[in-house]
Amino acid sequence: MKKSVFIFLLLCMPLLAAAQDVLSQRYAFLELAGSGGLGSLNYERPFFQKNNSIFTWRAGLSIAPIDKNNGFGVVFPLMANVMIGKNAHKLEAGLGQGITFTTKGSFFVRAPAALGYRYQPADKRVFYRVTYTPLISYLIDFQVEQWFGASIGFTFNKKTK
Amino acid sequence: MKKAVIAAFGVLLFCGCSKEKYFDGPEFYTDGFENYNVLDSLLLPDDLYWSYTQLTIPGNTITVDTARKHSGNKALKFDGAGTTGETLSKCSITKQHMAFWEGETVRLSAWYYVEGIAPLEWLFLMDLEEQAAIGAGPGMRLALVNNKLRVEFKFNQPDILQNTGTELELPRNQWVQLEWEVKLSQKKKGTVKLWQNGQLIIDSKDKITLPKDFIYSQQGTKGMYSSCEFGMTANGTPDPVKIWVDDVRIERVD
Repeated sequence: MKKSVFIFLLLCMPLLAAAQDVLSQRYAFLELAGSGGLGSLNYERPFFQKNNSIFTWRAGLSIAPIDKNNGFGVVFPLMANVMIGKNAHKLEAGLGQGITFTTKGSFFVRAPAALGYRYQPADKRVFYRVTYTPLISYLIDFQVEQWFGASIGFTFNKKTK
Repeated sequence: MKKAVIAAFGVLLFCGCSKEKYFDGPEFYTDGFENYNVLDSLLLPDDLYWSYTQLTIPGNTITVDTARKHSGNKALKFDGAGTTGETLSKCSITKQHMAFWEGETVRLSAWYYVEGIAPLEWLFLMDLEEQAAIGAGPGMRLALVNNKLRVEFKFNQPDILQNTGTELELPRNQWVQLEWEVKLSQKKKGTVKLWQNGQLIIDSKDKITLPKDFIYSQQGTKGMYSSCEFGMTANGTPDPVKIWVDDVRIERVD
């Protein structure tokens, strides 16, 4: 009996997730290459929804190797994104700041941008992203570096009261 | 809040537009080391002559030498150990805060005397670099590999070698003039030329000769070179090396 209930609940979880408010969802994803550089772990949270558009902010963590004398950089990609689409297939765009601190005390900022495709079914927790993620330098010299990323993520749902 | 955002944007715009002014520096420097008696007299404030030395291993020394010189009465002697442990052996002197921008052509020339006949693998003699906010001084350098000079990049570009079959070895135990001319480009519009005792040994076109920002490992490049380094800029061999340098000239030539 317990086993049956457990299986029933497992099967119902996606439906429960879909029923919950999008703004209560939380996302975590691993991005290979992309806005964090070589790769990053990210936390994402929706903060506004209008029609088929969901606005989110995202904070990540990454490492950037430099060399033996200059140590390595710790990178924090912080971005604001919008997902557009009423079903699982979404267009995603974003812009933010990639803040780097090195182990030798240096600091710099680039601006990661993102434009891509996100497959995120409402009835599943796992989602995927494939994104064009140019890295833009703007502080001293304006440069645009072509870059891409691919992500796999997981949806967490905040418990409703 | 709105004013703060506009002000911040204005500062960023100003910084972006005036980088040539902000990072301006001399385009010419020459030194025969005739006016110095000790190393410290080369390293005066405000980069009047030279800016700094790199002596990464105890025992590496730079001295003003009167025993061996190309012209006049003095030359700089670089006496550096080989690299055997974790620390790369360097014994060099640098002139920084110069300014050579994209589209310009910079020429570095100096007379070198490399003592000994033992084969030298990855001995670096002359560097042209940028001081980036984050990165390992990206740039280009002259490397001696199997006793032949090549141009090596400190960013993601393949080495430029002498033409196969006509390579010239670097003469040892004698003075050799090295003249290195680079047209600077972040795109494939740069050129690299290297003369050894007046003979053109490298003539390469359509090269990327300036570094760009690279992911988050190299940030704050400006489309320029600002730093010129001479001597034993790095010794990848396990053997000690003695080098004399004289009649250094750094200039924009276009």
